[in-house]
Amino acid sequence: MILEDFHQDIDSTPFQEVEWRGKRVMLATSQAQLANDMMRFLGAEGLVIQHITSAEQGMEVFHPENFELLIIDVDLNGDGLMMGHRLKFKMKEHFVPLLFITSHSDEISLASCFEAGGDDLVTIPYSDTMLFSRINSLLKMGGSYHQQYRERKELAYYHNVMQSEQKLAKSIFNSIVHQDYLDRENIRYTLSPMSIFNGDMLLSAMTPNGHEYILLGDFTGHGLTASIGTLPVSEIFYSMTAKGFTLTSIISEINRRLKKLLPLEMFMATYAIDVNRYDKVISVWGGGIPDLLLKRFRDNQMESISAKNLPLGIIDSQDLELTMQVIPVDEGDRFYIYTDGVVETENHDGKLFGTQALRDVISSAGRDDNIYQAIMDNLEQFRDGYEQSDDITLLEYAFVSTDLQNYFDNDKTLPVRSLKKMDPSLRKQNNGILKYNQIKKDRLEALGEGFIHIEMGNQISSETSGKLFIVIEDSGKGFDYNKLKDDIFADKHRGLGLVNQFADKVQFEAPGNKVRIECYWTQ
Amino acid sequence: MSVSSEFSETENALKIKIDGRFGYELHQDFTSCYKHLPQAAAKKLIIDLSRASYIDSAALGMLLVLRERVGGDRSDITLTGANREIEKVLDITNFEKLFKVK
Repeated sequence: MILEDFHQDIDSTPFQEVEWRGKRVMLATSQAQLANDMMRFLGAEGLVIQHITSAEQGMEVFHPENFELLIIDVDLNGDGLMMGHRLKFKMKEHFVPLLFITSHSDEISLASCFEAGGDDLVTIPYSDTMLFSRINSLLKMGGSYHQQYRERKELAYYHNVMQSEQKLAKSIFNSIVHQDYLDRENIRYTLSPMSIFNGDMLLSAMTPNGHEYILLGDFTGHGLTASIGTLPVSEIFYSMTAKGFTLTSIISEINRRLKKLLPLEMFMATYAIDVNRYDKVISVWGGGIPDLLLKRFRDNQMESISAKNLPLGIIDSQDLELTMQVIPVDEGDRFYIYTDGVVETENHDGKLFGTQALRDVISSAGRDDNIYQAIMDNLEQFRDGYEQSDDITLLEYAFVSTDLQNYFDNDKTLPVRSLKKMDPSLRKQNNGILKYNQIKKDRLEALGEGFIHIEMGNQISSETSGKLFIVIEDSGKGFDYNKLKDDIFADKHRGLGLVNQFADKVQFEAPGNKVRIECYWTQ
Repeated sequence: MSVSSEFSETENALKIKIDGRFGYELHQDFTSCYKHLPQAAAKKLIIDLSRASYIDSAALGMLLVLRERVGGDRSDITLTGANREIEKVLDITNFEKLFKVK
């Protein structure tokens, strides 16, 4: 740096005035004359001075929060250096500048002042100007340290607050966007967010008529912003599935809500799957997400089914193409859906894992191989400890046609319950579902005979009006319908509440094993 | 990594050229390319991706915002010169339903 620049630099940084007034100084010296001179000079500048005359006294009086500056005479009882050293030790994470005063001027003596923890020194005889500027610089140093210390503490405080807030928010997310129905023998999955919050979601739920719906979603970006959208999607998915809506209407509703809620540039890549174990088909709908890969059990071949639509949240629901692709499946067929975080997994060289690598693992695997584990191992090996750069989600689903009822609660029909003489309140208890299902299974096995009689008709009363009726009767003992509580009608989406909402008349007949429902119509 | 734009008289279109990684880092540069355009002047757009190496979902989002700005369904935006990787992304996301891909 040439001198001119240096001066310019000086000029451009305004000299920072240090406030002396009120700053507390510990002055440690047993020399009366020195003490008097200094106290007069420093006192005139507004410093508050505490004069001590022994190391013991100094150790007793000193606390890092009580002083802004220490001035220690090296000759204090012959061990000023030791005292300085011990006080510095006592400061721990605090910093109080230490100025030594010494009458020795040989190099070794001066160096030992700094070794003992001194920040600067003044040799006797000293000049007032020199003393002034040294103290000024030390006070400045201490002041900036204190500011940093305060800021650091504040930062640590906010960091703690943020962490506990995130923990709380995370637990709320977890209870809404839960994976409760995914922990089953025929499913393996991984959901690996790159930060606390996940922009990927994987949901599963059973419909009232025994279909299973699966939804994989990947929001633009990652972290909290990306994961906010998972809340409404999860709510819509679980509630509409439970009410028996078709998967296409659920997709349409999710799209409508996301289009309304999310900013223009955010969307959700989606795979939605309807697993129908009765007819042995899966119906799939994909929007802007990598191919579904299907590994057949019979011939060990792999098929891929690409997503034909835009991600959700971009266009209006009325413009969405809502045709499902229907794919016949058989016992032991396995399908894989995943977010692009899997194939865009990066390694140290900046290379991506790639779609081909994933397809190779699946297509080359044998019929009895644990493909899921093979994929995870390959990914791990490829990444080799390199940091994750996106949320990663992968699902393996092995098709089984057997009853999954134990995992779900969907049997809500009145006659069947009556037929089996079940106590419906059982289902509201802890573990009630499991108990209920067990009893149901036992009784169904033990059941010798029984009937459900359904009668339907349309009575035309004029050319433009009439009534539809449905009468259902079973061979059960019936129940006391006069004791039905109002709250059973409160849920208008299922059971009696639903029936009561669309029917004009609901009439039970004694002994409670027969119900007549009427709906009036006019043209 | 950069964005440049020019108005092509012959094609009567605004050409925006992406160089390098097309991601969130280019958000500001990309937006400022068309921000000051009078709505009427920017009917037709060509996004030149021949020098773009990669596209992420943030960039796809930026394209959606641009599309809305120049008329939504009535917009005329062409994406040209995409390399194989970018083509794959456009294919997976089915963005050819919203943009002309050449």
